[in-house]
Amino acid sequence: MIYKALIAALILLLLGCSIERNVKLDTRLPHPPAFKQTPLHIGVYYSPEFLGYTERKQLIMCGPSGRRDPSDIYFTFPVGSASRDLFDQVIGSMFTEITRKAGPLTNTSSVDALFEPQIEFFDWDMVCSKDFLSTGIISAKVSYVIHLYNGPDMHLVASLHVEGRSSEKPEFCFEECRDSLAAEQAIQDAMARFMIAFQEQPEVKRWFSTRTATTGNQQ
Amino acid sequence: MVFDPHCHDWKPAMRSLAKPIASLSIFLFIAACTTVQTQSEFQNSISLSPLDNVVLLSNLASDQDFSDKDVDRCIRPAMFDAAPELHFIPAKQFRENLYPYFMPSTTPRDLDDYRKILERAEVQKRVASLGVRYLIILTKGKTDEDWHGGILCGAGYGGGGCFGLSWWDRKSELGLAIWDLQNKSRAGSVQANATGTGIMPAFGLPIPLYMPATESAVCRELGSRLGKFLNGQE
Repeated sequence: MIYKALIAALILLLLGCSIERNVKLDTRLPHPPAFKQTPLHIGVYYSPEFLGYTERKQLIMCGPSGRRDPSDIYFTFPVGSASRDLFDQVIGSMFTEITRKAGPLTNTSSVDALFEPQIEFFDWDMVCSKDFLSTGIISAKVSYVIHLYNGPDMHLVASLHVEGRSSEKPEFCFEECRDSLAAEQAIQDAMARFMIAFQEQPEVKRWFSTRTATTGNQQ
Repeated sequence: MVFDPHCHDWKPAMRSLAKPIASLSIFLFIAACTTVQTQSEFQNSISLSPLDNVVLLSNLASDQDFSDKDVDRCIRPAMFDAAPELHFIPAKQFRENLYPYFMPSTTPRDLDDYRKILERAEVQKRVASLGVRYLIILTKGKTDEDWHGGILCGAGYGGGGCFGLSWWDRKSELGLAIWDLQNKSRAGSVQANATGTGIMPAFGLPIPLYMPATESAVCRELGSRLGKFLNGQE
């Protein structure tokens, strides 16, 4: 996609225009994660800020000896909606019952816990090598803070900070071109980190043991 | 390379320097070759059943230069030449099935990490359904170049061109670890490095005389070693 954009950029540059491109992100996994489900009823709340989170990034070209040349190409990444799609799938594979909540305090007594993810930052850039014939690698980073509240009383149990990153070489492609420019994989990486880190958090472990003892569920 | 548009008297200088540059180019061309060194350590000789598959992965946690596709292009052809009976599972399929493991932040690093992951029932089920016995993962991968000499380019009303000699030392290093997913153990490791010198004289135009293919030399050597090991020949 980058090369199509570059050819178009060359034409539009001559006309004095810049290019805006809305990137389509499909973060959903083709298979359910290889993960054991915990028998708990979990609520999920996505704030309007989370769902509407987008980032507009300028494409940087690599000049000789790692020189960074800003181009007139801009990409807009719908990070919020892409994160929601994957978070839904990830949470669904971690727990047996999931309910989407319209508000953070909406009828939380019916659920064992409530998750509220927030996006801390999303970064996307071209990293240029320092050699004379400099080449670039696209790098994407995303960071979330995911709050876990105890269902009945909305007491904050833990806030998990997870970061995901990915890099990929820009490649010529003619068919089956992926549109994500490393962003999809960075989001998937962060969610994978969340799935594993979640179980290792001491506060979460404590909460799990009391919760499963109360409800009679076994992990 | 230096571009110097103000250099007008470059033709006589070019004539006087042409012979030494040509001689040096010939000397470097004769001296230039690619040498490969390999180190390997295999735990036990193995016998692969026809149902066992192999997967080749890059290390997304630490290596930006080698993607899964690069590792596949690098290692698989030579492995297949050494052991045509090997069956490979695409890296993408393996990663998709083993999510959330083997992502950049969740790739296991040592024996403890591998054991922890492989002891999980869901992981065992996925590994068994893919029939993957051996996981070969990149542990080190880099290529460095060090340029010497110089080429001067000039242009005037009567024409233009480049003159001079550049040569570069190139070193490629690759290391791979082999994990036995069935026995939850490290089956071995292999690493190789290749060095070579490239030469690019310029008599009018800079034209490389020799480009050291260090990376493909390392790939061939490692692929052949791994193929022989999995074939029970090493």
